[in-house]
Amino acid sequence: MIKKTIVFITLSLFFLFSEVAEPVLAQEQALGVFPPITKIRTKSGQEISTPIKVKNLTDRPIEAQIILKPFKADEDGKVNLILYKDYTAENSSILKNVKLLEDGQSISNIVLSPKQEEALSLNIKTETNQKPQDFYFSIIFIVSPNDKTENSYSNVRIGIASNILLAIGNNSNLSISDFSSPLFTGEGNLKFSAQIENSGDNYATIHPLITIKNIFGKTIEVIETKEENLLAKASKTLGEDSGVIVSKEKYFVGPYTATIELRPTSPANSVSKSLSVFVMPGLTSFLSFAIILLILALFIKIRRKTR
Amino acid sequence: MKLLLRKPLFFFFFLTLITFLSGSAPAQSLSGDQFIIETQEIEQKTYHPAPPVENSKNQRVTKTDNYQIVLGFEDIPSEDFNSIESSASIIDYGKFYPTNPVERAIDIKVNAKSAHGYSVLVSEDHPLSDPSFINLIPDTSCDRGLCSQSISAVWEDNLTYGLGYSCENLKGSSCVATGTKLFKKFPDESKGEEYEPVFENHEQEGKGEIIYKLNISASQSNSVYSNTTTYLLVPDL
Repeated sequence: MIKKTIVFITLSLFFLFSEVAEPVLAQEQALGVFPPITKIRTKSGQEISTPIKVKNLTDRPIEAQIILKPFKADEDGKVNLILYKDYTAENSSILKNVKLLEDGQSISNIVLSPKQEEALSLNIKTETNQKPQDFYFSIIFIVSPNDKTENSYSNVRIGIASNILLAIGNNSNLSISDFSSPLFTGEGNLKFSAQIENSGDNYATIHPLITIKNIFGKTIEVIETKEENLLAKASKTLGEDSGVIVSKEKYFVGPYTATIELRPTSPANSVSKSLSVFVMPGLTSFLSFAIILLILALFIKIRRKTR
Repeated sequence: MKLLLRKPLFFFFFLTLITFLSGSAPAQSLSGDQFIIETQEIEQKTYHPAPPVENSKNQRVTKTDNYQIVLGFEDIPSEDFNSIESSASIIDYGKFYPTNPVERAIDIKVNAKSAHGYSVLVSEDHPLSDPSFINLIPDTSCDRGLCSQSISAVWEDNLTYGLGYSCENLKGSSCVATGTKLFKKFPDESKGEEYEPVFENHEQEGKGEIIYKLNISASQSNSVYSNTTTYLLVPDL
C-alpha cells in the first residue's frame, strides 16, 4: 500500500512539474486592404495625404507590421518588389519622406481587433528641388503570428500590398510599338496582339479600345480592354490571356479594319494605329464552298455540251 | 461587265462574295389572309463604349491645383477589400524520422475584386534551422537536383532530403508551374533571393492548397527546427 502511494505521488508530481507543451495555435488568418493602387500626380515641394483602409477579417485580434518596398513592373503588369540590397539612392530618398499615420501619429505596425476596419493616412512629402520623375512603391501589411509548438514548425505569415504610383510632373509620351493580327483566320473570332510604350518621365493611365469596321465602314464591334497603368520608360503587352486580345463577335468572310486607340485619362498624347485583316471561314466551310463551285462548273459544262 | 455575263461561274462567285461582304439580310415580306410578316434588314450591332471616368465626378478622385490622386482602378467601381486568407498560422511537422517524408498542407485563398489580376509571392526568412542556427535542414533540390525557386520538379525519392512546397488549385487556376508531386524551393530572404509567385491570376478569386514536404537524412541532428514562410498578395498594375 505504501509502495503504491509513493508511486502515485511521484507520478503526480512528475506530471505536475513536467514541461507543459505550448498549445498549437493553428488558427486561420485573413486581412483586407483598399485601394489596391493609388495614383498620385503632383509637383515638387508638396505634401499629400491619402487614405488607405485595412481590415481584420478574422474573429480574433491581429497585429500587422507595415513595410514600404519599392517595385518595378514587368511587361505583363506584374509587380516585382525590389529587395533592400538592390535599393537605389532614389528609392531610399523617397521612402524616407513617406509615412503612414494613425490619428496623426506615424506608425510601423497596427493592432486590429476582430473585424475592425481602420482608415490610415498615407502622407508623402516631395522635395522642393525634385526633378520630374516617378516613384513606385508598395505599402505592405504583414500579419506575424509568432506561434510555436514543441515540434519543428514553419510559421505562416500573410500580407497584402497596396501599390503607389507617384509622379512628379506630367510628362507621358505614348506610342504603339506593335499592333498585329494574323492575316487570315480560320475561325470566326479575331485575335490581336498589341504592345505599347511610354517614353516619358511619368506614368500614364490608359483605357485601350479596338474598333473593328467592315469594308463599308460600318462598326461591327468595339473591344474595350481593361485599364492599364503604363510606367515611365516602360512597355507593356495588352491582353489578359498570353498577350492576346480576342473579339467576342464571330466574323464572316471578308476584309475588316481594326483600329486601336489608347485613350489616356491622364494628360498624355492620344495614339491610334490601324490594320487590315481578312477573315476566311474554317477549312470545312472553304471546302464546301469549293465543292459547290465544282458541281456548278460541271453542271454548266454538261449543259453546254448537251445543247 | 462583259466578263461577268460571259462567264456564269465567275458571276456566281462574284455574287456570293458580295453577299458575304455585305453582312446583312435583304428585307422580305410574307402575307396571307390573317397575317403579314415583314422581315427588315438586321442592323449590325454597334457598341458605344462609355468614355473614361470623368475625374471631377468620381469620389475616388481628388483634384487640386497642386496634385491629383486616384484611388483604385477607374474602371472597377467596386471598393471591396482585396484580401488574403490562410487556413493556418503554423505548419507543425510533428515527429519525423529520416527517409520518412512528412507532408503538411494549408489553404491560401485570395479575393481581388477591386484589382485587375494579382500575384501571391512566397518567401522564407531562412531554411529550417535549430534555435542556435548551427544545424539547418536545407531547401530541397528535388529528385535529380532539377527544382529551384522558380522551376518545379518531381520529388518522389525518399532519399532526397530538404524542405519544399507544391501548389494545387482548389478554385480557379492560380498555381504557378506546379502539379502532383512537383515541388519547388522557397526563396530564401537570408540569401537575398527574390520573392517568387506561387499564384498568378487574372481572375478575381483564387484558392490553392500549399503542400509543405519535409524529409531528413539519418545524419540530421535531432533538434527542433523552425522558420517563417510569407505569402504576399500583390495586385497587378
